[in-house]
Amino acid sequence: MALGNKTLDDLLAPISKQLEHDGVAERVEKPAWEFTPSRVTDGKTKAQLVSMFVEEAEKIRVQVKRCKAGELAEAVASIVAAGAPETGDACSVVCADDERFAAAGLYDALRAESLVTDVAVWNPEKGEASVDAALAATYGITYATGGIAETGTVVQPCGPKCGRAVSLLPLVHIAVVDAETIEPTMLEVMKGLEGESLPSQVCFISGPSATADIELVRVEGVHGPMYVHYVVVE
Amino acid sequence: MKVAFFPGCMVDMIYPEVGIAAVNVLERLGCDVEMPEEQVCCGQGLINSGYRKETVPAAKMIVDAYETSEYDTIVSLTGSCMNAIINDYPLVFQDDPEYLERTRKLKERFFEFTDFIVNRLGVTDLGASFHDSVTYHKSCHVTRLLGVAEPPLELLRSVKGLEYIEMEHADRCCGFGGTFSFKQPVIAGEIVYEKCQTIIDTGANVICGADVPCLLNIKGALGRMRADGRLDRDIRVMHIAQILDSKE
Amino acid sequence: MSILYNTEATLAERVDECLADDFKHNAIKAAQEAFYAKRGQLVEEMGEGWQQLRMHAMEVRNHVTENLDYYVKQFAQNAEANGCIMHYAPTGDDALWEVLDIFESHGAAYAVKSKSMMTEEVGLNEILEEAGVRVTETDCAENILQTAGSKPSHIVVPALHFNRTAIADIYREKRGYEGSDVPEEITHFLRKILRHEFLEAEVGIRGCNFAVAETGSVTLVTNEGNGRMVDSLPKVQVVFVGIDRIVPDLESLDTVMALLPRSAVGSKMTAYFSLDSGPRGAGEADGPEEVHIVLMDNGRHELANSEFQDMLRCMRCGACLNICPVYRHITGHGYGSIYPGPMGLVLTPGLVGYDKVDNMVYACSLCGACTEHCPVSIPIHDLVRQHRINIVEQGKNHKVEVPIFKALSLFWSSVPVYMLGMKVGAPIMELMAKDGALDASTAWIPVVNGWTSTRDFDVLSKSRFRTWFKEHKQEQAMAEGGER
Repeated sequence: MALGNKTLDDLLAPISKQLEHDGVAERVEKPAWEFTPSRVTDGKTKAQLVSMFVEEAEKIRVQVKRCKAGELAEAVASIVAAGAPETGDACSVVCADDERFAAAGLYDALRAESLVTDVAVWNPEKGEASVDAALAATYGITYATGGIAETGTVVQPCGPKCGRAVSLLPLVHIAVVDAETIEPTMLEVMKGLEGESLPSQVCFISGPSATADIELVRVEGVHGPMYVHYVVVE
Repeated sequence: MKVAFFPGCMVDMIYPEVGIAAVNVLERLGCDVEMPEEQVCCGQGLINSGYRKETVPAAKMIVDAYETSEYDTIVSLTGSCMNAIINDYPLVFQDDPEYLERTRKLKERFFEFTDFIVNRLGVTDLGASFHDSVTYHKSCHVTRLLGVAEPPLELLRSVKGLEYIEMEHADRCCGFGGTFSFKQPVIAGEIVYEKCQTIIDTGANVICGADVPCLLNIKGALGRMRADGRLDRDIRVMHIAQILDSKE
Repeated sequence: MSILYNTEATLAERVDECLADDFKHNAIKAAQEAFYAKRGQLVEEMGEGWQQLRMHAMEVRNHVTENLDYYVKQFAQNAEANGCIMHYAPTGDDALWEVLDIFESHGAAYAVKSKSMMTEEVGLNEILEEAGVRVTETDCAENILQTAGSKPSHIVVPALHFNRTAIADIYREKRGYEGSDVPEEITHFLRKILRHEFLEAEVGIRGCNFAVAETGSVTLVTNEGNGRMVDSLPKVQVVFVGIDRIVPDLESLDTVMALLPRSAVGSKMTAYFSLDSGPRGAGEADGPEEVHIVLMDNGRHELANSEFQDMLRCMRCGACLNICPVYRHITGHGYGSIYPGPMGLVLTPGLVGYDKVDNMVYACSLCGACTEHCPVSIPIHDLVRQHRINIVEQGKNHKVEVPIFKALSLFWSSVPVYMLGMKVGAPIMELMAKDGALDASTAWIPVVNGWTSTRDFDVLSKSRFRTWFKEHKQEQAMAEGGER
């Protein structure tokens, strides 16, 4: 038998045979599941879920700021105002291209910060240059589409207006999330994605990149951001 | 209450005193204890080594002896053997519907020794006294596979004068594992030495358990550690039945 | 590499090697304790929900296994509809040919990789390197192993057998590292050198924790972010997906993800979990332009509809390793398989066959801790024993042991034979014994030394319990008779 260039049928035939199936079924209905697991978030109010989200995020070393709707720009800018973490050097910023950021006056607020040398807004038409801007940036700022209370996670879809690089390459990731969009568990987020046309990537981000590969000593800042901030807009 | 007693072959072969203590305890609780003569071993060592067909004669003998016994309660002194009978015999008899069914019926009548006393008879204080410090090894088959976790501890707590000291990772395997401990003596040795160190670290003078094979293993390792200087005092190894039968 | 390694050494030799290395031995013990404690706390927090999640995950995974052909097809068709280029690999060799084709068609000579057991299983790195492709492992531990030329000792934290000084020395020698032995400094050095590699690589190679049939999505769980880098920067991406990675829909993805990080590393969630559905879309400036999915069987289908079917639920979390009393001492290297520990004892012979594995399935005390901790309730220790049964029934056992077990079978099923054995055996043992036990001085005696090489053995009692019991009952009857 020749190697490579196998068809789907080549893969399926032995499986069907092993299962004693007469070919692959046209349709298989999922059964009514017997178990519906209870979750720690059951019965929690929205306000309790937001508090849980904040607590869980802090446990995984995220710095969380809560602010009112009109204070978004100020809250984010105050993080960036410190310059590069630890050194306080001047630095640059890359932001997702988001109408809510523009409406809140975020881009102008960032440009007004003395230690910020450049504010790049993600622009896919610039192609590789956008990735380079993210690579050079100290801060990457995104607007998450949701949060997960159980795990302190933010939900970050990627697309033309928010490349993968924004939340990945800079030393610091600032994720803005509306309190309104915080769900109890990943289950509700998944249900929300069902039936939608999925973006090429939805990333669930929970804190800074980390490893314990050397003698189990936890080190933050491996390949992704070393510092993560959430700004929760209420 | 009439009960059929299942001691397990190690009691018959090596530790008759453990069986005697258990019978004393059961009789003091008002049980009329019987034991069928036509039984030797549950055959666990064979099935766990993969010798399923070779297990059949021993297993049939156990089923024949106890299934036909006139008592509706069988008390097992060795959790590991009981686990083999109720949970592994279906595998042994997978091609034998008759014995499969008879084993199934047997299962409902089997009780582990401490579980029987606490949950069937509803007794925790047996009036025993034992003035010494004791730690308890939570044998895998008793605790995990039969789910008998609390009864031995409840019984120990009710013994007058007994100071109970919990060891670290009390439910971690002692490394016996039947033929495993013969086939892999180096690995089994590492496991039991570590178990013994946690026993030693409690400072207790007595290690007790509810499963005879583990005690054989632990006693053997403590003996070796005592001989080569890793242990500098005597630690007694006892079955829980012996403590419950004590008036020390 | 393939599934087995260090096959020239026997199990006993591998075990001796591991026990001789105190650092490795202690590192694995420490890892077990750390993961075990963290996991235990999270499980407790979830109360009854944890068992319900386990049961639900089991029913979902079983449903997929029972309809595996359907779900493999559904996933493949939907992934293709998402714009992925599908490659079908009934065997590991098929997968290798497909990957070589991809590299050849792009003229690619440089790849970055995030940890993938499937690629280890087929020995992808070696094949690519032979074809002139440079492959860089980007998970810190995998990079350490690759740079040192070593093998994983743990499935989740594979480089635990090296201490910080050894790791720093490896990079000093091979990559010009000039920093200290502090883990943070070494890690940040890796961040710096590997970032260049992510940017330069033409192809990214990754695995897939779960594939979603209904949406044709693949997923990746990482803490370090190397998975995201592989997933975002190279123009061409190759995803290895095992046919046993499939869940039906997004809801069931939540179920398995509620179990996986908690079981694997004792975290509620990993830093990153990405759900990828096809290459970069119109107007996107990053992400792969081409996504190739290599959907691989490599012996897995034979587990379906067999006594090992439950193993197809396995999520490769490593919870069973983190609780195993044997793994604790012999470490991943003792098994000589890239799938070590309890899950490895079931999976390895299941994938490579009994003729190729040695006596590894006997390196298990059947204590059942793995079964108790498995997040998808695989009866792991029962399956290990099932391998032993199959080995005997297929005549692949060691012939020397057969008469011993046959004799035991007779001995344990006949009261007269048993009593005779006791009558003969007890005095012999008594002669060899000191203070009622066989001590270290008997460690030269064959068979017996299986025990006495490491422990003393209490000798047979001079009297039988059954004899006492009979007399005891007779005394009782006489006493009752007397009363009457």
